[in-house]
Amino acid sequence: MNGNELSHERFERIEAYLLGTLSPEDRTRFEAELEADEQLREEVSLQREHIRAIQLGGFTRTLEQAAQRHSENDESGRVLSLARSGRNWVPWAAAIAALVAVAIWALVRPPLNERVYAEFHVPDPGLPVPMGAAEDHAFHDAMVAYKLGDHAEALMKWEGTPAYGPGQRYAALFHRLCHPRVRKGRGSTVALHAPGIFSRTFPGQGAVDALHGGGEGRANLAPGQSRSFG
Amino acid sequence: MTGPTHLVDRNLTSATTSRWLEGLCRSDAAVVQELYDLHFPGVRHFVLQNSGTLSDAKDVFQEAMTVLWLNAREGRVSAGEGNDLGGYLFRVARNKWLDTVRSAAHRNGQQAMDSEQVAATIADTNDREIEDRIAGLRSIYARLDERCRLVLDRFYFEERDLAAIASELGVDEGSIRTIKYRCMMKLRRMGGQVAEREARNERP
Repeated sequence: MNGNELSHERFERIEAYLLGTLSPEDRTRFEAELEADEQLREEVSLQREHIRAIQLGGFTRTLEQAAQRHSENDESGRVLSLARSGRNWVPWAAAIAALVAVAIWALVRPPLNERVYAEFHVPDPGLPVPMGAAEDHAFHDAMVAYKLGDHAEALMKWEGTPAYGPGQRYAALFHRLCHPRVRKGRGSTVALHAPGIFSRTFPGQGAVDALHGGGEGRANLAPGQSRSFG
Repeated sequence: MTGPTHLVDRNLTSATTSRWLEGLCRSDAAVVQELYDLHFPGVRHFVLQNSGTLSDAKDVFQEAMTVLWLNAREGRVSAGEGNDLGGYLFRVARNKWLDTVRSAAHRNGQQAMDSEQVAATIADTNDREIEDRIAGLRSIYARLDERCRLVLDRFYFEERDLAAIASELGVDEGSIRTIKYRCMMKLRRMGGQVAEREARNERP
């Protein structure tokens, strides 16, 4: 039968039977013909195989698309899994970093005694301290200036006090205290600006007078004079 | 407690199998994808463990899915009790792969499988018959030109009606009907020529 042409009408009748689109009456009639006609049975079988081949072609495409999607999902799943496994070290790293930070803080933290000192220490405000001239307020005022580090002001204030007068035993001491260069016996540059501070003569004051001129007073000192302030 | 739970599980499995089989008969893309995602990893593992590659695994799984599809379409697989489609797919794919390995070993004069594996392969002669039939169907489809595939795929695979195909391709319905008929007659003629050639080759 393959060698003969199959009419369009007969082809469509077989097709309708195979696709199940015949009416029940037509189907019954067709099946009766099928039983009686061997060539028709062969034709039906051949056409069924052709239709199946076309359906298989379509199914193969669907299957290939499923394989493609599976591969893509698999790849992205692996990437995600890698990313997740990569992220696993983050909490550990954070914990280790926190431990190291705590250890460093504990090591460099000052000891308890220093922390207590820093917390409760109040600097000495430089209030007057009782000395020999406890009743002399001007003297006390000069002492405060001295304690606050303002030596020039201290000297000026002491100048006017009785304790600074000629022959007083504190005069040379105060002078030495307030003039660091002199006190150390180096006799170098003097930074005091108050005029007249060194205009008076005290025991062992020669070197101080020599310094009064400013600049490199050391050159003006007589040999041995500097020792009196050593 | 065990009894009812077991029954529920069995019903669920049977319902899933029914859904899969119905989907396969319609070539439903979602069902095909579900089966692929669920059962390919097991086959891939087996093939990779038995000196195969990922490409080999894809090939044998595709073959197993096609066997299942054809059997489902032609009513040889049902959703009855004990029908595990996953197990069926794995068995077909495993046998196909073992067959491939055995053929390669035979060509190279090696003993690649133990006797149990050989027995398992021989036991599934039905699968091999179906595989031969699938190869025949593929050769039929390969004879079609692009224009015929375009029309026949839409009508016989996608099950669209002639009016929709005509509208999509911008021709009238009568033309699509004629193209379909001519393409099917072309297949019929080529099939006849192949059959005649094979008959001539078989003669002594």
